[in-house]
Amino acid sequence: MRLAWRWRELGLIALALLPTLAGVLVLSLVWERPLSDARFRPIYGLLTVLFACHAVLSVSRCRADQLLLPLAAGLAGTGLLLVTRLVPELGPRQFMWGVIGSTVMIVAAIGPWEVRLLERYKYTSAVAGILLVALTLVLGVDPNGSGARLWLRFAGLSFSRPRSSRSCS
Amino acid sequence: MPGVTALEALALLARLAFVLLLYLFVFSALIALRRSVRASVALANAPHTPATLTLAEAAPVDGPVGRVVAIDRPLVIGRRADCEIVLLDDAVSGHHARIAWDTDSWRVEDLSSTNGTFVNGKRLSRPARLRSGDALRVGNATWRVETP
Repeated sequence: MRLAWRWRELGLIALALLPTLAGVLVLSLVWERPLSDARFRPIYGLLTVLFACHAVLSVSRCRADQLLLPLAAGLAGTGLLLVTRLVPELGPRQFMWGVIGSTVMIVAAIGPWEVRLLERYKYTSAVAGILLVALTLVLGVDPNGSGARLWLRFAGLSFSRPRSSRSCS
Repeated sequence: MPGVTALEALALLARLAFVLLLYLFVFSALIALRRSVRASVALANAPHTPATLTLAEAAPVDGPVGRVVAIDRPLVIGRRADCEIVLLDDAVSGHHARIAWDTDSWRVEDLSSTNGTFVNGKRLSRPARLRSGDALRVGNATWRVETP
């Protein structure tokens, strides 16, 4: 079988990550730190991971949509850029979540199952999402003093409520 | 400009580039989306070679062995009345499997059925190409695939 490289995906990922690189340039100029500064390393790491994901999907001849990974790459890139801009110390942790997310994505995409199986659990996950939202009424914490107790703390990690319920929907 | 260092000017330019590149990405994603929608519409209307399914083995409820069904468009096999091929066998799910043309051949895809769809005795975990002579099993019915 011929190798069908996912060129559209590659082009879009490159485009999606350009703003992030421009952002790194802005931060480097404003902070007066070189581009090789340790603060920027998580961003470069995430870029590498995203291109590696693309390579794995191409080599495994995955027939999945070519638009989703670039969109996720754009959001993850700008997200990590914002984290680096606001709290540089949290960059490595955000990068770690990026690696975990990418691994789960790769396993889901090339594993020996159909992702469509998740359709069977649509009501279960909707209920789980609603429960997570409701849980913040009782167990919500406010880690950054913004006045909104919208986060859940579990095993030393904080999850923002919209995020965890989004992954259920 | 007075009071603006080269560094500040460069930082401003980089900020503008950030915003422009962000919009550029959004627009190209939209264009790619439109293109992929068009491509899938074109694929659905693409010329394809018709094939036939001949019932080789079946539960009594599924009608006589030898029943022939022509495949000339995407069709769903299942127990519900809205399927193109309705099988009344209890081992068949409501919407059990789908056959659709893909680029160069007909492919069969299991629609998360309870008892699975088998091609030549192998349970499908992802869509599989149908070749002439293949045995497609859905529930207790086995169909022989024939392509010209």
